Amino acid sequence: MDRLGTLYRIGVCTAFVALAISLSGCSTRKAIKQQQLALLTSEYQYMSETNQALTATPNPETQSSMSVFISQDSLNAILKSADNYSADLPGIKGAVLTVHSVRLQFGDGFPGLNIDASAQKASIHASLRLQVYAVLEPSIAGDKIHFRIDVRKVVPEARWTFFQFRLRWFVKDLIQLKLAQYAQALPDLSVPLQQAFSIAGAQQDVPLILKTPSGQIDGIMTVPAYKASIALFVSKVLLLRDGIHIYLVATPNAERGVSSR
Amino acid sequence: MKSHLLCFLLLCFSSLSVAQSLDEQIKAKQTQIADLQLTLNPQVAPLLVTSNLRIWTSGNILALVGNQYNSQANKTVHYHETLQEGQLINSNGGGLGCGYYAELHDASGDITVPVVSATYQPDGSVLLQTSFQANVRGQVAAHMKGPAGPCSILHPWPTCDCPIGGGFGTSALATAIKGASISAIAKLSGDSASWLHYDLGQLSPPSMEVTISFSLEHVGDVGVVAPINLPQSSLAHGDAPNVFQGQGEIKIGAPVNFSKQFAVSVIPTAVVSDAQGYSVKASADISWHNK
Repeated sequence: MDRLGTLYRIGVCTAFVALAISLSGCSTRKAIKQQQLALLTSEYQYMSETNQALTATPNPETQSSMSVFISQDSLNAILKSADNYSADLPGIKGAVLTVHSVRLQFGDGFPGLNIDASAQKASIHASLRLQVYAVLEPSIAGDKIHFRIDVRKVVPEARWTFFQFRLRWFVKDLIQLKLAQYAQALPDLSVPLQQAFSIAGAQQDVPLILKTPSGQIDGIMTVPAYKASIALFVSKVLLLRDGIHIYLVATPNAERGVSSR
Repeated sequence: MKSHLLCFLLLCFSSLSVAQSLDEQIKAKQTQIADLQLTLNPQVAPLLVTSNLRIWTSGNILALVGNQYNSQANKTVHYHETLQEGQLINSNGGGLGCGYYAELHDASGDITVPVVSATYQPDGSVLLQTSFQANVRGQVAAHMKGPAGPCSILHPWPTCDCPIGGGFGTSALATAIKGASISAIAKLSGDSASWLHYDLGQLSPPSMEVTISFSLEHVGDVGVVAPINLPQSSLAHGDAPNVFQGQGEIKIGAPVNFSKQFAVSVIPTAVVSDAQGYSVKASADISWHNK
């Protein structure tokens, strides 16, 4: 009798669990929160590093030869040209990724991005908004500043019931897709930046008058053309809420005039 | 029946507690960030820029660019005469009756500026100090005037104002050699054409004297002292090229299946020169090459 009772209890409990799962459904809410926490942790770390850097050097210009600032608005105006870009998602048959917009949303020290993207799969009538956790990675190469988007995690916003297994598989595929595949659908931006300070002046004729005891002699002085250039290199990049601050210093041999180009 | 309920509640609470724990962690992290932001605000505030672009150059590098003159190949300013008004000298009287007058022709020469020392000034200008050596040569055409004559019936006595004509001409080589210390100021400005424009002028001292020497037959060695008003307006001017010179690109995909090229022009809106350097706030004009 006791054995029958135990089996009955296990059966009822299992039924409760199955019922709870099938009725309550599943979602990516937890995964989204986990990524939100990871991004906040990352933001705090970036901010702490910026705090340390600014505590050590409150005004980086005091240790620089030149600085260049580009606002977020200017960079966002360029990024706007790539709005609503769509591409097939390799690895997920029939899936299309649409990147509605990518905008910089820097914090003080934090290279944050606001990416509005969605994934569609026509065969299951699914269109899922994607939470793309990414940061901007600026780097200098040649006479360009290059902005690459580092995708850290992509989680679709989805909720499904036990019986919507095709949607569940789509969500699983989106989560497991290699981050590089998402990165390939995001804009890669490079902005020209001359790493030199130079000036140039053309040859110029300047009138010169000699007053003589009985008249004057008019003449022309021909000042030769002048060109000078100091090679610079990027010593620090600071991302603040207003945009990107790039600090450059003269190369060590610039003062000897060797680096003029 | 109690165990059934316990099983269900356990399931519910375990998932709830995970979610609650995440929410708490997120909230705690947000509080940490807000606290750190309060520390950062006063550090960041002086660095924030309100314009699209800002370019700053230190006073040191501006002086360094001036000093690069010293490694230039051409350090010579060429001079040539264009016009003579009046005469170089007009001598009345003297041992030769009514004296002579001389004109300078085809004067030309070089002014060598071997070394320049540039210093950035607290007012945002660059002071250039140097010494020069000028060596100018020309041809003097002199005319020995004829004897004095009467100007009219009312003034019958001979005067050099009205020589009776005649006389003779002579020619000689003239030289003017001058060396002196001099300084100039390079003023910096920005406008729609350039974010940094320099204009070299304000030579100091503003004037100096030069002696034009020549030797005339029947007269001997002559030295004509001529004051020169040195140019105060632009002696030289030029620009710094666009910091964003070149082509930018936005592209997507590997291989690339979306690409647009653009150029960034700097349009200065405010210029500030101070003891630290020269800065320009500007708006960015983005022009697309392939729309």
